[in-house]
Amino acid sequence: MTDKTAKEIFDVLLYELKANNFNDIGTFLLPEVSKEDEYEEFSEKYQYSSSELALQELEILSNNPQGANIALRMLLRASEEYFTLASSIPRRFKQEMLVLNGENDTKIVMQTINENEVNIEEQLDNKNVIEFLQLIQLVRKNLSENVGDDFLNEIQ
Amino acid sequence: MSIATLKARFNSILSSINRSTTTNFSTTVETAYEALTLASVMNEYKRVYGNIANVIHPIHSGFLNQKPGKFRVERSFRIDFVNGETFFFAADVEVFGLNAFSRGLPGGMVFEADVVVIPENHHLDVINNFNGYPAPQHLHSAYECKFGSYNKSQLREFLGLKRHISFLGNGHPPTHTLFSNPIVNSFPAIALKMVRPRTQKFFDLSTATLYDLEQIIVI
Repeated sequence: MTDKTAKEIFDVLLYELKANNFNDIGTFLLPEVSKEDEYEEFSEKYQYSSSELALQELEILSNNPQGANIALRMLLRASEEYFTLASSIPRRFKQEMLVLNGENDTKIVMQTINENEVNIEEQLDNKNVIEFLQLIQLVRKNLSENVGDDFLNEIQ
Repeated sequence: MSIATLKARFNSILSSINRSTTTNFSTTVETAYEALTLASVMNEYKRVYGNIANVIHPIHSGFLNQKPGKFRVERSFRIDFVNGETFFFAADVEVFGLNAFSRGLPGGMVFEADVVVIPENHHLDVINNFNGYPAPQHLHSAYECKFGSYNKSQLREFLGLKRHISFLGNGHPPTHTLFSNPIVNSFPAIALKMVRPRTQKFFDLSTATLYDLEQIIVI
């Protein structure tokens, strides 16, 4: 994929993630921290970090020469991680309940402000999430190939 | 297909994801994460307190609450352990602070804790004498869940919750350690944990040790 195409895709993906309130993906852009390094000890190299800032810095990276490909790769990876983990919560909940007492038929139900009951599992584990994951995986697959617009023609 | 079409495709899918949820997807994820944390905490108690005699699921199916509020038995899990200990596990409960602890009466502000654990021998006091809002003397452990966004204000807020429910000092340390870090400087000795799906930068070691703060990973 050319840097020009990567930058264009990066811009539209970032724009749509922000416009649709998915800024939390910025958290999954932050550098991996091992358990041994979790304590924030002040140093001369200290820098403030947050989900929001991570997205801003990624956008800056995308404006640099050869940075668009890297930025897009990072945004795709973070998006995939966020949605994969989020949509797996209901399954993980059932696994934990099975370990607890051999039962896994408890549903994740929330009482709303107007006292309705909402089944959250259905909302998280839905085909739209799967469709989004498939789309970004398609983009990731073509990321290292210089396909230009040809790659985009695969998307219907 | 043009970039504009791809943009529209992203928008269509992402907006559909949000439309399929009650509030929006990100908020729904945070709520569901509380449920996962609740289940993980119950399993931690199983690890610590041993064999389970009985698990009573919430009578009312909605054990999560969009609006935090009172502790209610019908919306909490109850676990009876073979060793005689019994605990209630509940989500989205507002808790009194040290004002109520010091006076032994309901009073002062209440702040939300995403998940709380209440020993069975305290739960009637919460309901009958504290209007359903647990005070520090009623809490065994509490959890702040953060699946999504990360910023330092969360740590400041977490420390604030700690100071809301415990004095800095030598309480009676629990006989059992939940997760990794023992409680040594809190009175009452309530285990308070921040819960995330991946490790993030936390407090410095001195601060975490001083206030018995711990970050645990649930995913």
